[in-house]
Amino acid sequence: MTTSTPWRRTVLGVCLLLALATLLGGLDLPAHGYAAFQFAPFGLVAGLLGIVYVFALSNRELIRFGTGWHRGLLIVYWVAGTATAFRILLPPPGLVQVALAVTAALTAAVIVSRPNRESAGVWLGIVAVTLAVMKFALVPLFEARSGLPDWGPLQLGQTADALRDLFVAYTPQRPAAQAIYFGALACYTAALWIQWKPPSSIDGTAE
Amino acid sequence: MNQDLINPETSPNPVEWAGWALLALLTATILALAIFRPTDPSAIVNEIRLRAGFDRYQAAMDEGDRLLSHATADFRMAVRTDDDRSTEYAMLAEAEQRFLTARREAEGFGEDQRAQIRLLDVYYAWAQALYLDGTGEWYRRNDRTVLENAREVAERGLALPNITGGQRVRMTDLKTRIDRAITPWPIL
Repeated sequence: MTTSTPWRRTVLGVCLLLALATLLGGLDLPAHGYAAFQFAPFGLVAGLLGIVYVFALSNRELIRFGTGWHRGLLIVYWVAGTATAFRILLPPPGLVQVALAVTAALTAAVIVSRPNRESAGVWLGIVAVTLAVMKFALVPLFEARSGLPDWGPLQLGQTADALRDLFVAYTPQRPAAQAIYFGALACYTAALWIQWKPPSSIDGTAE
Repeated sequence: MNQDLINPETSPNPVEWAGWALLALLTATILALAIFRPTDPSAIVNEIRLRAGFDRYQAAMDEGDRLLSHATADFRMAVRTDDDRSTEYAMLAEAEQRFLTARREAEGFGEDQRAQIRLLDVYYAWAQALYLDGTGEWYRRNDRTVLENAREVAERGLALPNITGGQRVRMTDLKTRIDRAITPWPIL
């Protein structure tokens, strides 16, 4: 199987950007504790969402795999990159994550049902922004405003913390973490952007 | 081998080969980070120095200092009411091991004494944290098991032969407070 040089270079660019997104998106910068940084790749929930979304996005031709030996490579990197994007955007474990993960999985069906690529792309953006607002705006606010003081023998603070962890086990991060996550999502978006044109229009071969 | 890689007309140029090499490097970095889970750049350097046997004394001292300073900073920054200190205690235990390694690797009295002084700082921070955990408000019973652990740590510190006089006085004072918390009414 032969593939043309321009499409092979596009594949290389996409894979590089997705690898960078996976590297940056896996980093955590905890605000407390002795760790300067931690690398925690995506878990099962984000991984499965990644697979579902790669299927949905390829169905709407937002992402393209082409033919030949690049195909397997692109599938692996797109799944890793998409799962990392969900790892960034989903809140920590708890009932809030359950609700958002289920909603995101159902939204994949909306993306598949869109009539064109542009509309599917907009829906992907809506999912990303909604999850980002929940994780980076609502959850920290909830954490900051839901504490209770300990009144002598009445340990209300401990009870409030335990109840809060049931909804979302929030672990604060240093402000630089948000810049890193933005960089990771920007790499993911750039990967989507540079392969927007089909391979046939890039090098004249049929996909 | 793929035809497009063999064919001179379509084979990658040097810049493209560099791109593929960079992709392989990035992928290897991701896998290494996921498997080894490092948490600090200086910890990586110190561990390499320790494993390679290059200036093991200083590497052990640096790593012990890093862990001790993080643990003491965490004790000061405790924010939540149900703070679990097991991470900090694990750090102190690891710092103790590093300073014990430094003592084994020490060449001469000066290096050994430096390691002992830092080791006592570890024991003092550890015993004090356990003392605070074991004693609470006036309406709560002291936790005897935790306080006995604190006393055992304090005794380990006082057993070090070459610590400074000030450190010995400070640790003795802490041990007295721990003893009083374990037995508030010694006359009975």
